[in-house]
Amino acid sequence: METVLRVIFVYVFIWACFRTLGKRELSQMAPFELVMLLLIPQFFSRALTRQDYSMTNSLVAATTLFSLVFLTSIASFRLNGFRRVMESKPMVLVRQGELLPRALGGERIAPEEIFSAMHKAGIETIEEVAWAILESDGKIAIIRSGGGPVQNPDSQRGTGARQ
Amino acid sequence: MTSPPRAPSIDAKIEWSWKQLIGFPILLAVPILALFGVFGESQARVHTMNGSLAMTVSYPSRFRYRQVQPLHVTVRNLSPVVADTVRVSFDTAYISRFSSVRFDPALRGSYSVDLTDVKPSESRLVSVELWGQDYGAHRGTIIARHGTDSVMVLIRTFVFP
Repeated sequence: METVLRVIFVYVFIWACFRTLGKRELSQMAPFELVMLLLIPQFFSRALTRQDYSMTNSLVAATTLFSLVFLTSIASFRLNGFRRVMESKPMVLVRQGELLPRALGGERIAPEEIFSAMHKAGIETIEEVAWAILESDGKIAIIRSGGGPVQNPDSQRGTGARQ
Repeated sequence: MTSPPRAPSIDAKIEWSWKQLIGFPILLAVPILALFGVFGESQARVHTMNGSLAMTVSYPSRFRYRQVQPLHVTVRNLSPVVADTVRVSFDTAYISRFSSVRFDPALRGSYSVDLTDVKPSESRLVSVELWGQDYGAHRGTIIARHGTDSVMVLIRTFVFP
């Protein structure tokens, strides 16, 4: 019983930490995936190195985490309010060729990072960008003005582009 | 346009595959059962009496691999005279399934403890500390003897892997 409660607590705690930090830290992963990847090795290493060496404890911990991830994804899909609480909203960083300083400051994104994402998308100047959006998974999506094609989309970690 | 186009809303109906219909209840069952203590430690208590002896055994019915649990045997002299020696014997097959087993009072012989000069209506306690080594179900008996009187208790402990 204690293991289940501990997993729930750690899950909520880490989720809250990442929501506080913002999207930038998430990079390519969805928050639930990151929480899962962080916690699973901890459970098994504890079972090997700490007081409770049992596989039962590891199994209970892992199934609790998987259940939480699955239930969260269901609730997030079915309930808009829950999704708004659990996941961060996409943030517009560039609007019609204009950098939005408040949004950049809020997400701690330097203009150089916007330009890096633009270059990876094959865009040379900021005027060619209709929208640059920091998506909830931490990627920067670039949409070219006039709906023109974007080259070399999603070529690097942390950036993405949409045509 | 002041904001990028939003995603259209759809009917949020979840389509379950047969694998999810089978797998998810199993996955969810484990933490729910754990919340109800199915995979945790549990103690059981049995009481028996015969002639001049009464015995109460409190033992772990379930616990986990490499965890420590106590086993307590309380023997009471029901006769009006002093019992010079009451021997409490533990089943070797049961005790050998655990490691680092500690007895208080100390063992007299092969997994047996002698309680001497037990006064009328007096209760004596034998404490055993069990460390789960072999997982699975372990069964055994605990017998207390005084003269021709004896009491026996059957105990069963399951050690989770």
